[in-house]
Amino acid sequence: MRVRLWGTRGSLATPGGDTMRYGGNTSCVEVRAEDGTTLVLDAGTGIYRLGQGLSDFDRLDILLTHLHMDHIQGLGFFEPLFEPGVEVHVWGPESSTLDLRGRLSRYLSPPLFPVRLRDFRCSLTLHDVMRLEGFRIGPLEVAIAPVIHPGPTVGYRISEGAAALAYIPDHEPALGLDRLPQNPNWMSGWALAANADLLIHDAQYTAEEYPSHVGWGHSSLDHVLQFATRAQVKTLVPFHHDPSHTDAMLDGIFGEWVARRDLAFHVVPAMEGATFHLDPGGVKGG
Amino acid sequence: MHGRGIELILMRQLASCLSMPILLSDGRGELVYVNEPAEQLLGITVGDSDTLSMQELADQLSMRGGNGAPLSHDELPNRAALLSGRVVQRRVQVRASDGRNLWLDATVFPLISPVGESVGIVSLYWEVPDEG
Repeated sequence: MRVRLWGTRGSLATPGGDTMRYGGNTSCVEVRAEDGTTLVLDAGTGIYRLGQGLSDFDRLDILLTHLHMDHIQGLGFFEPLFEPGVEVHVWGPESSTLDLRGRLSRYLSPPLFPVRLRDFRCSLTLHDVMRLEGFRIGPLEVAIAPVIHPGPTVGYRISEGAAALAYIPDHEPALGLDRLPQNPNWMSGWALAANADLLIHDAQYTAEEYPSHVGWGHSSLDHVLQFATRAQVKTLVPFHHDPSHTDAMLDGIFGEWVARRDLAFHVVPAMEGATFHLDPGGVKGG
Repeated sequence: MHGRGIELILMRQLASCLSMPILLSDGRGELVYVNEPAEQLLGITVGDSDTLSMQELADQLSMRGGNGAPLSHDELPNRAALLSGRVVQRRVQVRASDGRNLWLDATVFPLISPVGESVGIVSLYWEVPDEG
């Protein structure tokens, strides 16, 4: 399984000279199985460039964690959606009152957007996921679980053989707590992340920034470390960088982590364009 | 690997921040969490990995009706909320951790998930100071 990061920024796209290395596009991750089966995790602005480079496929699956704008804004610019003959499946959380189609249509319709869902020329199928525990796409096994973030939000665990990727880009497991629960059963997202080879996880705030953002649905860097430790992952990819964090600031924030030798896992901060190869021998790349 | 449902986790995290005595049960009615004010009031504890059935809870508390009469299994507030899927308010008498008889107003309500499943029961116990 190969994983490529097309968008690593949280909340707001931040193109510019001071975000070139970590990236300015919002959440989008490509997952490709060994047989070429392709999943796209979230449809932030990073999906635009991904769509331009895709070829030789007749089915794509887009897995949305939730419907905040930074995770769906690129959807209307994803070229495969406009290609007749292509089968596109979009998976994402419904609410208690609206299905996924109804919720996505709030963005993909005037006045917010000129093109409606029905205008896409591909063969489009929408899947509500809140009742699902998982599903299979080709060789990829997908597990789903709701996680702590405002509004219906899920995380995904994608497995191919023994290799597992956990993707929880927006997550505040420490909401209301001083520390994460000792018992992992009581920790949001744990079942998705447990023993994953690669965990891509929200790391929006520093410890100093978090107290003024409690309840916004994101993690501090300390929380992510605790979470990854409890989940016993092999590699942690801090993701969903705050729009105010420049490359220089992120170097400072993550430099200490990358250098730490007391952690039981590797820390590879998310950078746009980074690729990872997960196989039974471990994770390569970054 | 199955953790607790997100609704229970969030309710537990909220209850841990409140000064009201709150008990949390799972979708089968098994007690899974007691916040500190409830521990102090009722003398009941449940470990992170433990559960307590509704009947065991009622027995530990020596729970009776507000008039002192024993409650049948279906009259237990948790059980009534679980069966009805609705809010239940009931005055009950329990044996407190210090041995005193306490009159409590129990407010019990089900947690219904976004897809309409009953995934837990929240029990709030309000002490009635002028009874007894």
